[in-house]
Amino acid sequence: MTEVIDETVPDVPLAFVSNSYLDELTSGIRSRPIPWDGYKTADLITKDELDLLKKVDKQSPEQLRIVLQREEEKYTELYANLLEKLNRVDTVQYILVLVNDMLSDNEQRVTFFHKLSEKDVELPYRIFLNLFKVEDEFVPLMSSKILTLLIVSAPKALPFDLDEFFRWITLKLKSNNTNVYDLAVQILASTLRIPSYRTKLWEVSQAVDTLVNLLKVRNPTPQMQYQIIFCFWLLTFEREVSLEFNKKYDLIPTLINIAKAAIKEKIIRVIIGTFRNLVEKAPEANLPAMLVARLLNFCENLSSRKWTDKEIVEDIDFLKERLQENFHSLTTFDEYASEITSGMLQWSPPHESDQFWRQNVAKLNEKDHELVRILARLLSQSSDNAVLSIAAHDLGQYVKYYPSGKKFLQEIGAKQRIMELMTHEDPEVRYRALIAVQKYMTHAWV
Amino acid sequence: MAHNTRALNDDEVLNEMKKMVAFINQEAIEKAREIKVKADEEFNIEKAKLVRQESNNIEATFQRKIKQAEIQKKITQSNMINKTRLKVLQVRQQMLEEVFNETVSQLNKVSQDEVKYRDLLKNLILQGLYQLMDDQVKAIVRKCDKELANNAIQAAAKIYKESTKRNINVELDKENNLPDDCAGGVILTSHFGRIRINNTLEERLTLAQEELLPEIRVLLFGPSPNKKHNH
Repeated sequence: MTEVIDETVPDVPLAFVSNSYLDELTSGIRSRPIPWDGYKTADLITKDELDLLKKVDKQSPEQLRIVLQREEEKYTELYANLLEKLNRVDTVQYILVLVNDMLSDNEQRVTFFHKLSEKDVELPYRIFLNLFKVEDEFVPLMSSKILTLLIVSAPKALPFDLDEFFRWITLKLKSNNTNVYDLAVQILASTLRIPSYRTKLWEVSQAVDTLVNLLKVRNPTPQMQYQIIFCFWLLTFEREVSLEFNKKYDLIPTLINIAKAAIKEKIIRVIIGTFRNLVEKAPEANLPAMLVARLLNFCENLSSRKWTDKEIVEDIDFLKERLQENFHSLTTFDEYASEITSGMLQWSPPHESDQFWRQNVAKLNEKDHELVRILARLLSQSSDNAVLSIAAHDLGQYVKYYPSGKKFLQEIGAKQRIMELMTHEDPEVRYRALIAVQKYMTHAWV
Repeated sequence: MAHNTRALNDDEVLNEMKKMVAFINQEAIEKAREIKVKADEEFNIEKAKLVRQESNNIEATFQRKIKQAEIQKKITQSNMINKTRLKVLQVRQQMLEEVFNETVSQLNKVSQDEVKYRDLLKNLILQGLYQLMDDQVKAIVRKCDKELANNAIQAAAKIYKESTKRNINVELDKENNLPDDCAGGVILTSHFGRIRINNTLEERLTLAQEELLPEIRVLLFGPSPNKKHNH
């Protein structure tokens, strides 16, 4: 395949943080005049600095490009110096806009900022970290955007602890202003591109909690859902995360529900991508939970739809295959027996599989119908509706595949109990009891 | 949401288009970003795998080289041991030869002690007679030993007759003599010269050398550390 380097197609940006709110603030500040001459007179800036500033002040993007060419190093130093020595909020805002414009026009220019570390090992980060404390709407937000680009393009290890930054982001995630937490999520989405930052964030306890909360409780827009789940997708590339992800936040059912309700393809795309990571990196921790949450059915459903995206089809097929493998390995009688004896009934694969019942029904009679007795006992004693439903269902399956068991059920009073449950307050329990009775009655004349 | 139902004017059309372009751009960047992320991850996994493979290869090659070097060392060691052993053997052999050569050169002195020599001759002849067990024996001696030999013959024959109760006739061989440069001793022949017993001093020395070699070795070189039992 011949390589065509198309200069007109830009590369994927390293950091992608913007929304209309920030853009509006930015253009407002960009057009505001700053009295640079006055600063020179007050000895706040030098003559050289003034000259450099005049060349970029209020210039058009094309003009800026011309000026900056070959002068990148000078301007990087200029902006860095000014940001550290000047205090007035409106000035700092303006310079941040200049920096933002310089970097947005050409992301590669960030290397000039990293060169500052040769002079002082804390640069360039210290400049922007300090600006977080400024009492202003714009300054911390724009600083965080620039800082994000700096940390994802960092050529060597960071000289500061990311914990602080992540805690600040967590704070912003909790904001009531949707624009603010939108930016915060975007910052995370860019930061989490780097694998080592993923594990770092996972360890900052509050951060992921807040993110999950955003998704589950605060009813985000589809675009926001996409961003948040994109962050989860990035996090789950690390095995450590995939192991604990569902256990901690019970997100598999949540994500399935979102996927079912989603209109936009890209949301389903990142959800399936996240599931794929969970399976690839920590199958033993996640496949069982996925099966219980009926993911296999959902995947088969998805398979039948038409997708424009090739990767999503691959991911769905992958998930299906692994889920099916796991399903078959879990549909063993031993698993079922241990579940029944534990009393913690769940809709695990064996219950639903007809093949399972056909093959294994006789085993329920072993040891003096031990398992049947347990089921009957659960049926009479449990107050958990799910357990009642499952127990009723199982007993129904039992008589369906082993009609001679009917007499036994009658003897131990289980038949009576199932009929009682047909008038239970919970609809699911009533339904299961009804079906069980139906199975009981069928074959009555065989 | 449009509240009016009139057609959009140019500005509004341009605006809508800009919005659509921005939207498509956004979607594209998002998808491109996802692809990049996947690509980076796959790259990392592949790279880690290759690095691990190569490290293992290098490790294996290194182990192999170490083993080879050890084997080489063992071979060299073994060769050195063999060489030195051979050298020791050679030197010992040389020493033995020196000893024997010295003995040979001393052999001539034996015949100088007349009394002892005569006795020796007698015993040599006697031994030969016992071996031949013939009644007619000829003795070949040096020219200078003739007189001594006669004495010895008589003495030996006498003892022989007494001990075996057989008769014997031992004569000096008048036609044949041991060469003059021989150190001494006698050759006995029987029955028309068919059986010869060589009891010259040279011959006896050779026999002694062979028989006594083990003892000489021990005397010269000490007992062998490998031998389990000592004579």
